[in-house]
Amino acid sequence: MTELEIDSLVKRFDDVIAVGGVSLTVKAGSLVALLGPSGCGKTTTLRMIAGLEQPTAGDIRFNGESVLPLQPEKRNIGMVFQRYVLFPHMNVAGNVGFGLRMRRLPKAEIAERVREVLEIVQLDGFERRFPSQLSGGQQQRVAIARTVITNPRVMLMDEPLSNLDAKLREEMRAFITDLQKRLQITTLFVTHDQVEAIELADQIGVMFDGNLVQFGTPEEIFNRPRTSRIADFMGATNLIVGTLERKGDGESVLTTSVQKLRVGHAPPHPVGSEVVATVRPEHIDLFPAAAGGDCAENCFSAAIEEAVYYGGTVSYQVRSGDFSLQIKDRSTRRFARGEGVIVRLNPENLWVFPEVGGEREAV
Amino acid sequence: MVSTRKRLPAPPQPGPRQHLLKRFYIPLMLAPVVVVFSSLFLGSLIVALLQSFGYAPLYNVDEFPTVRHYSQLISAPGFWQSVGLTFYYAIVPTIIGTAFSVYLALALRRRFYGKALFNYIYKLPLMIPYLVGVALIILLFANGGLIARTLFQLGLIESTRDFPRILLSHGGWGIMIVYLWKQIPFTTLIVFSVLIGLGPESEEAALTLGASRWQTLWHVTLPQIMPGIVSATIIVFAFNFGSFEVPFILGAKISPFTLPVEAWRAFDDADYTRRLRAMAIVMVISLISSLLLISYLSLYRFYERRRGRV
Repeated sequence: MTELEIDSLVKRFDDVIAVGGVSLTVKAGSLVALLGPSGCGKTTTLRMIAGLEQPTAGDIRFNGESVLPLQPEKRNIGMVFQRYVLFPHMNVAGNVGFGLRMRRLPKAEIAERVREVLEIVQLDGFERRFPSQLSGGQQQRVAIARTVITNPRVMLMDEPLSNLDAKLREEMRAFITDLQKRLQITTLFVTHDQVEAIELADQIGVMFDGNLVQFGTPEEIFNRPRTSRIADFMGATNLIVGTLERKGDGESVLTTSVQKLRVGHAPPHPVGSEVVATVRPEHIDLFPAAAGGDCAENCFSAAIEEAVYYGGTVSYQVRSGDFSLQIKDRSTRRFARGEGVIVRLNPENLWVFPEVGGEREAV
Repeated sequence: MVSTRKRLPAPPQPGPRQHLLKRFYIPLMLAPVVVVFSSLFLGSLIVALLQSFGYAPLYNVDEFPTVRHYSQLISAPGFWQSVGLTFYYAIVPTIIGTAFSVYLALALRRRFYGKALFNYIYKLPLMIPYLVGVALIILLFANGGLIARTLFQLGLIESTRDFPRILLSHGGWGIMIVYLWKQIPFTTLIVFSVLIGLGPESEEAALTLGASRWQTLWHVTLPQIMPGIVSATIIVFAFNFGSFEVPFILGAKISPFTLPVEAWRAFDDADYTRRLRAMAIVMVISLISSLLLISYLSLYRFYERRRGRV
């Protein structure tokens, strides 16, 4: 198994800095997702690891050994592309066995290994079909089979699920997780979909503007984002401005325009400073107005401004004074537009940032 | 239960006149092209075919149907040499030009200094008539041409006559240089367009799978740009095979001549009845060209079918 180490990697295209000094380590056998919006440099990072782009500065090491002097074909990596990029003039067996043919392995061995790998990706019997005769999901499984058959040291996946429909994407996520755990291939997965990253990865690196802004487990990134921009990207769209009134042992209190809110952690910022608290839409509790007496802490009355039905959930926009919050609630009970409700913000789900140069940084 | 949903009004049904118009709309729109194409191409082909079989009232000849002109042509001394020479002038530049064009198209995808200028210059011959290319070759490669005189001035040859005979010889290098001058830009343009459409991802995938640059070219790039190469070579070969003015001006002035030059010589004869023989030659050229193109396309389709593309 191979450990992938990226050290201060920089890529400059003329005057544009595509990647500005990214460092991270993908532990042997683990799956790391590089998550970020389009144009943040995640694919360029992947291409530099593959050897398809030359870094301007920095180093890439496999088990401590630099691979920069090696051409792409000598790095023994596997890359799965967004658009599958199967060879249209070869059938499934030809595509899957391509890497082994280029290594000049005996025909019988290639045929045997192709059969084995196609069995793993549940495409046995498809050997003679051509890419144009396969569905999107099948094509992506062929692309993965073509990569894993060469026993790559590191597998790189460049948004491999973005061309699939929602249901197939879900199936393929489970398939990739299962395959990666089974084969224990060190994998770096690029995506702009936070749900995909959380479901698939052991660790997530969030990239903005060519920089790695946070690296941690999915729970850390999801629940304790380092900046408000990461919080926003991860779907925590509610920002509550307030003043840090006091802080104590593992908790603090914010004064906001509506009421005081208890927060389940103590930010190291001085008492009296302006801060912003964030809370995810699905982490807010909603009760009928009649149940108000039962709610003791961080509760306030609000009115439903907007309600959009999403099948399993309903998305509400609620307002209380100048507070406007987005809330996702289960769809088994419904509130009508204009109806009064009680909103509760769980102290453990409130996360506080101070204002830092336009971007709020977690404390 | 009574449905409260409103029914949409049914779309109006076309009347018989509209139906007829709809049916013949596309043929009617194509009619001008079909008329011009038929009268220019098929019309002249039919006239040539009739004349080659002895029907030419314009020249006071009406011996239709006869194959005399064909049998005389095939048994004439030097006919098969003419066929060979025509093939030689058609095939050699097609092969050389295709190889060079593929290399050039691949090179054009890379970044290099002066690429924008080169990208513009290499297409220039496409806009210039063949006759200009012929004049250029005479100016440069004739025994009294620029290169011969420069070599003589430099003392590298004793006389301009010592310069190798490139023009007016059966070797035909002058003819082939003109063909290449015009056809390399054409084939490059087609292959380059196909390469651009293909994108770099296929090759990158091959590289990441462990293929060397050469293996990638051979196993991934070439098979995928083959449709472009086939189209270009068909057009180039067909042109070279039927080309008249270039071998007429730059070819040897003694027999054998290429088939189109032979046809012109017969057509231009003071004896008008020899025009029937010229038409027999024209029909032979068309037949050979068509047979070759059909076989080439059939072979290519067989190759594509084996690769699941057709």
